[in-house]
Amino acid sequence: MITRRDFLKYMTLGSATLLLGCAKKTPIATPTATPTTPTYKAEFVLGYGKDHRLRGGKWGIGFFPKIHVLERLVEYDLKNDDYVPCLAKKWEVEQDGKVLTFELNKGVKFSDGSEFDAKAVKFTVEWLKINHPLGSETFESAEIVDDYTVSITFKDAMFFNLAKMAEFHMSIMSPKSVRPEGDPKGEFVLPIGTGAFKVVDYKEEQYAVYAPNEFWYERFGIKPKFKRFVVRFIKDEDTRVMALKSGEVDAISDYSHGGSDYTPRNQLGLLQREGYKVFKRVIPLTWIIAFNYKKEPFNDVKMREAVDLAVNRDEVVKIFDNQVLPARTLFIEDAPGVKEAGVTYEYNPEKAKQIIDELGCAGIEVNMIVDKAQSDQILVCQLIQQQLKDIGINVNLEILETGAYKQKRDAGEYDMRLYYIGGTDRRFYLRMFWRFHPARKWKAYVSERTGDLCEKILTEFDKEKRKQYLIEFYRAIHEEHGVVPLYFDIMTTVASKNVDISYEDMFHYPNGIPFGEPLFYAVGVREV
Amino acid sequence: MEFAFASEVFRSRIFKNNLCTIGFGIILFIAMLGLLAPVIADDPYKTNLAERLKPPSLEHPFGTDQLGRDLFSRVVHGARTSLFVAMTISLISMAIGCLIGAVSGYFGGIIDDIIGRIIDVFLAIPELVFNIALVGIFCVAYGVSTWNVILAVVITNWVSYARITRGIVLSLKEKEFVLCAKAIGARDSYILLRHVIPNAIGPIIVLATLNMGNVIMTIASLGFLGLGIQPPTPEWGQILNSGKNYITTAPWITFFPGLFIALSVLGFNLLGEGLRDVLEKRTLEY
Repeated sequence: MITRRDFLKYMTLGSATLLLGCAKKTPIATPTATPTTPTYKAEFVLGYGKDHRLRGGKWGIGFFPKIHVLERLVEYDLKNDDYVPCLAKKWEVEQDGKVLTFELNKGVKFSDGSEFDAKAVKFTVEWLKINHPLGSETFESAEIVDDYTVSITFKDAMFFNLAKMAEFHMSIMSPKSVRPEGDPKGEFVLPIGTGAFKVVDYKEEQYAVYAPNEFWYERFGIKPKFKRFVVRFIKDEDTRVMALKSGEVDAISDYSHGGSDYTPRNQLGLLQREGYKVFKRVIPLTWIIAFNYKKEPFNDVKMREAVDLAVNRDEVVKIFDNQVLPARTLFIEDAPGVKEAGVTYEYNPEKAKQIIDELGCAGIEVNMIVDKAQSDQILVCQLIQQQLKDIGINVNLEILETGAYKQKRDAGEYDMRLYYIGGTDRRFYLRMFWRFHPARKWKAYVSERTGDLCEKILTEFDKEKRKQYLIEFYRAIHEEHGVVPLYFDIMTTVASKNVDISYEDMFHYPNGIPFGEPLFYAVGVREV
Repeated sequence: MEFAFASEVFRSRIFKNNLCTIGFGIILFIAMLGLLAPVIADDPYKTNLAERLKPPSLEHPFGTDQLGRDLFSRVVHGARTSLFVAMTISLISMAIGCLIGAVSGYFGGIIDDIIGRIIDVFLAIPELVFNIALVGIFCVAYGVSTWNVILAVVITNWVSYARITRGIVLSLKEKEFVLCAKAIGARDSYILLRHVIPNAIGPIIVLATLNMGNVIMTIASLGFLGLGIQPPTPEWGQILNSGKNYITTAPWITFFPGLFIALSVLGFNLLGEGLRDVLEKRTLEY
């Protein structure tokens, strides 16, 4: 029989057990986990919009391998408007820039283990002179001074020659890249360079496979986080985004050329909200409205001014979720001379309307051609159409297949179109030449005044004098309303959550030189 | 007499048929929306970036798109575009197809053989693929225009009318009233236009109604592929296409034009089915 005392004892014990059981679990002290190095997948897969043309082409191999497989003698530091050493240690300018003598770094190796020396530079210059449009208009000859010194003679005496040496196209390749070996007239086989990657496999329009170039990683004292770097060529921009979302690729990136085959800017915000890592860098590439300025009605500076004043750039960037910046200057602030020029593009629709009324052009019909392949530009054009309608200009949009677009553009059958000036940092002066020099085909705007200033900019070696010419040039373009800047473009990479890379590594070479193009030497995909 | 008969058929048969009534109601609803678009909806082109990607609300019943445009206005104005283009295509295709089919069936012989082979060639090529190719060619040759789409679809669409008309005419030309007309010396063109085609009109109307749904789908498909009517003109397929990247964040951009495409196709199919029931019943009674 249970006594009252036993009953109370059992009850107390039971209640205590119950209370203990219901009590919040106190954390059990465990030894602190030591941080472990994440393990990375052997393969990194990138979705890219353009074939890498690893067997060559009219303009040589693609921009991606030019940046990742090859290196250049010099690189460009946009912020300081300086050319900085890369494969070359230093250089001397002779005969007003007609001759540049480069002293090369020693101990640099190509990915096949052969030595980088003056012979490789001479071979590249001669190969480019015969096989490349930019090379043939640039180089005259190259002479070996000693094993690590090479003297290059250019066709013209100008500062632009040095600027060109930092260009994609002037990347140095091994004489073994062609067959017969070292023959500038030889057949191009595969690029062999001193860059971070070496080519392993390639199937045209399908994929390219790279592996880390151990000599490059050794030179910079870093270790790769992948064994194979696979690039899948996915032409359609929306399909590329879908490939990222489905996990088919680890990241997608922009075509380094700038201005085409990129991740649609109107999707960057959405991707960011969905948890993808968006790396972006503003580059000196400005989207503009280009006019057919040689024919009516835009041969009239007042008409161009009206369009310029009517465009609300803040609205334009909203299309892209404010992922890009409105262009109130011709180029980004980091570009030489922009800040000092003090030129600001204004939004003043009332003034624009007044100009149109004064010209008696209210209700005028103009056409604007757009390339159908670029969904972002179709949206921008629709917005501009509405903004110009408000001041009395009726814009007929012609959204055309790329081929038809180019045909109309080349035939001059348009009044307005969207275009871009500038490029990634290294192309700043090259595109200055291509867009504003009277001698070029792909012009955005040229007048006697701006053409003359462009010539002076590309000739002048003295940085300060060049800056003064640039300032005058920005002012002239603004006064003549040659083009209407819309927004500053960016270079982007969108990566899955388990991709490891910092912004610094994505847009800087290991020696600290800033790059406009995304770099992938430091990427790794964490094992989940 | 004929008018009285037709009106009696409409009253007693068509409106008593449930499929007809529902189909007709849906089409009437969409057509009214389209007709009244300038009254009931705002400017479909008006952009307002501050209102970008807004969900449906009292102010914007269907939400807004990526340029802040009111989707209700765009969808309702899109009804005008889609219905006008579909009607134009159907009428032109019907006129061409019926004439070719009637000539082929009535005269027979080598004319029938040639037209028959041409029809076979057209039927052998997948319609949408053919349309895509044609629109591409026309755009390059003549520039961008709504008429490119109309022309491209007409080129492939007349074939079904020609095939059906030919079959009907083949059986009609042996009927007594045709033989009588021939016996009294009536001209072939007179017999065709006065006696043969009017008697084939029932099945052709059914085909035309059912075909409207197909044409709307084709226009929307071309619009979705970016080959149809070009922005900023509101068109359902093209609005649907513009919303595909926002399907997870702004599903209303794709939902409402999709709904209207589905409704209009359903409406024309129901009306077509109903008309077939009514007209077949009438044929059986005779």
